[in-house]
Amino acid sequence: MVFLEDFYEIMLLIHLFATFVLVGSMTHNLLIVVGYLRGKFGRQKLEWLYVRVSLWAYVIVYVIGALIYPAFRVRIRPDFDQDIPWATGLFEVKEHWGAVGLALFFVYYFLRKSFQPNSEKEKLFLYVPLCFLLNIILWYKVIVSCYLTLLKGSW
Amino acid sequence: MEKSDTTYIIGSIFSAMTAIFYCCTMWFHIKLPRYYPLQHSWKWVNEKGVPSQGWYGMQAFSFLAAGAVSFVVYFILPRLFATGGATEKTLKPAQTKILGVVATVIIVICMAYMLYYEFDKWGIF
Repeated sequence: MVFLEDFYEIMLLIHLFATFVLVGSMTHNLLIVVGYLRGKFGRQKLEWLYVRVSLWAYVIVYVIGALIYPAFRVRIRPDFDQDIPWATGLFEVKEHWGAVGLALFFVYYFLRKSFQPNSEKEKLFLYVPLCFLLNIILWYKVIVSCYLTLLKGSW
Repeated sequence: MEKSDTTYIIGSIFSAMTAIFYCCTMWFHIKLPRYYPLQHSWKWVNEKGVPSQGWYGMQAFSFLAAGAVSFVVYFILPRLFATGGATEKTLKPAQTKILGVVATVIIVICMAYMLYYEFDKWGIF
């Protein structure tokens, strides 16, 4: 018996629902942050709300993902390794970027908490790229995860 | 030094160092604890033919190492910026921009390397 194997599918569903929240909030966050580049600072409170929601959603997604990883490693990934190794390659990048993304998310949160975009514009030189990178990481994870689940979602 | 400047500097360093240390586990094949889900145990060795997970060890190493570097920087930061008896000094706009760009470039390079490493390893390229 592998750790949390019996709860794999329900936890995968929670993982998915939290991902909906995460991707929705971060994509909306990106749209507002792009506005900062054009000098539009009218929705800072809403943007800060998206940052807080995104952080908690990411932590939930991350923790659940880490908990169900052993079952995935034993029950699903061996088939990928043997039959379609490129799928494992896609998955591994997702995991590496996800780990770095966790650090970036906390930095993103504390950075946003410490400054006001309209009064300290030079700090956008880190804040805006972080927003873009986090969205790249998230969308890569979503697309790859959905595709891999289509190939083999459970056992 | 203002709190927002300290957060900016430490945040830049921590994010860049996390990416670098994570890549170091790939570059130098650093031996880290691996979880063996079928045996419910942790081992330092990578046993061939037995499912194991090195991802937990890789991220723990990168977070702890980057955290240690950031911790050291946090304590030497006031000394670095204290000049001529002044203990408070703000980060100049140009320094802020350069730090942000450098941190971003490092993260992007490390992410690209992770992609290359795995795509090459699993025959996608």
